[in-house]
Amino acid sequence: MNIEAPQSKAMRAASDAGTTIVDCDVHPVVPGGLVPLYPLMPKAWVERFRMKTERAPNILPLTFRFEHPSGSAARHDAATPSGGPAGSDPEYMRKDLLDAHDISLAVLTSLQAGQMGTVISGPDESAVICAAYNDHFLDVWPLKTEKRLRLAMTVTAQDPQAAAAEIRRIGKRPEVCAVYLPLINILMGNRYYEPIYKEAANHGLPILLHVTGTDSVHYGAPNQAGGFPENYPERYVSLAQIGEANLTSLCFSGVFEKFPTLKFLFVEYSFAWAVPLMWRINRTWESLRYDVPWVKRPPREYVSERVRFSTQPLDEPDNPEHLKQLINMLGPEHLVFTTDYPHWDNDFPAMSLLMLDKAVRRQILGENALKVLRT
Amino acid sequence: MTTSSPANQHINLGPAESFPVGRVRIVMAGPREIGVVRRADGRVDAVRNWCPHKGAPICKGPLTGTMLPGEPGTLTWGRDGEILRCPWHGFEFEIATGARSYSDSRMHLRVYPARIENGEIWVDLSPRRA
Repeated sequence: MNIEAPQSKAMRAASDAGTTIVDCDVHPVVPGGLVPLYPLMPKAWVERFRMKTERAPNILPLTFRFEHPSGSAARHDAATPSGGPAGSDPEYMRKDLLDAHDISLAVLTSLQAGQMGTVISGPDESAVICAAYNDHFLDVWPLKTEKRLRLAMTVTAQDPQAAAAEIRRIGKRPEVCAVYLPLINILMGNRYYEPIYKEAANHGLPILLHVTGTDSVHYGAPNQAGGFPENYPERYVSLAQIGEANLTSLCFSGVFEKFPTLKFLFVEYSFAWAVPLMWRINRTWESLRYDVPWVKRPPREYVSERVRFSTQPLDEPDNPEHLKQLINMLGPEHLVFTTDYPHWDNDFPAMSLLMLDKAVRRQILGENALKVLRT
Repeated sequence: MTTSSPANQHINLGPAESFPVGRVRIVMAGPREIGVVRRADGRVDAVRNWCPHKGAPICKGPLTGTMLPGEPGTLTWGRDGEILRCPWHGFEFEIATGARSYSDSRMHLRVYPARIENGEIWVDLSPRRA
């Protein structure tokens, strides 16, 4: 007996008929450590990684302190039919995510690659590993035939020149819709990142940011303000600080002027914080513009044109009208919909943002994303 | 295979022995997908497989105990087998009552009266009376 069907049908029935749904945050997984990537790497690098990993039990050690309380941020109920990790089987992803929730386009962002691209591996290692993950999803996953799946190609943040070269290598491929930049502890307005911004802009690709799992955990990753969190909930709630710090940095650095077509997607930092932050950024610019004269227009104008925030993880005030008011304050044009499949803190379309007017909901569920992704 | 009594919405789910003691089994009861737990003392819990938070198939989450509220720095485990935890956002509900024990949330899991009669499990899907 198929016990999945009634649930999926009920959720489909609740969704808006005819609405194009774009999911800007889906996490594919390659099980088996780096081994499946070896065919995509030069021989010497395979030997390097083989020697470094074959006697180690786990190539992605997280601190015990910040492990998810249930043992994994991946949903237990999204494990593949063959018992593989959630997110590891594109066929099952097609059924369990795309078909079940009527999703027209989903952006694959590999956190495995992201962790390697930030600080888990060294600069040279990270460039090789990111390239291998990119090739794996582009050529081993069925992206050529399943047009609903698109890749946010991962670049290393540890070597901006190598990252730019990676964009030149694969950035023209039609399956690529964004550049996933897994941040290190250098704010985004810093000129360090400029080679990456330049190449992304040349290719018409937005920069996609996403928490990597290394944040506040590993030396060299972005840290949250004020001190070291003590547990998973504390760290989880304050991850938005990294989004706040980087949006502020972008607004005052002149990046928007230097790269006048480049767009940015803040994914999984949520968005409620952006409302008062933009008030403060604008107010401060009104007073102190002369300190940052390269910011030629009110910062809110740059953000309005070129920064988008993901809806997930959705804040859930007791009164849903309060969230609606907040979205109106931010401006719904700033939001793109994300499920975060297959992770525990997901938001699926049929049960999300139901308090919004239909036109606004349609805008957030799909239209906004299509204006920022390269499709 | 379920059978129902036409006079009401009492549905026969089959032999009690086909339901493992202390574990959730997901079955169709008429139009409803429900999770059923047979207890060693003969009680039966039955809940809708639908988390009222975001519609997750909650019966795929663990039937477990939980950490009881306590003083900072202390952990006390209790209520083994009484708590159903959603596999998505982690919301916990008492499987017997559908309530969220340690929250002032009005969210409530739908529970159905269920019993063993002549070796068979029956569940009552009738609408709740106010």
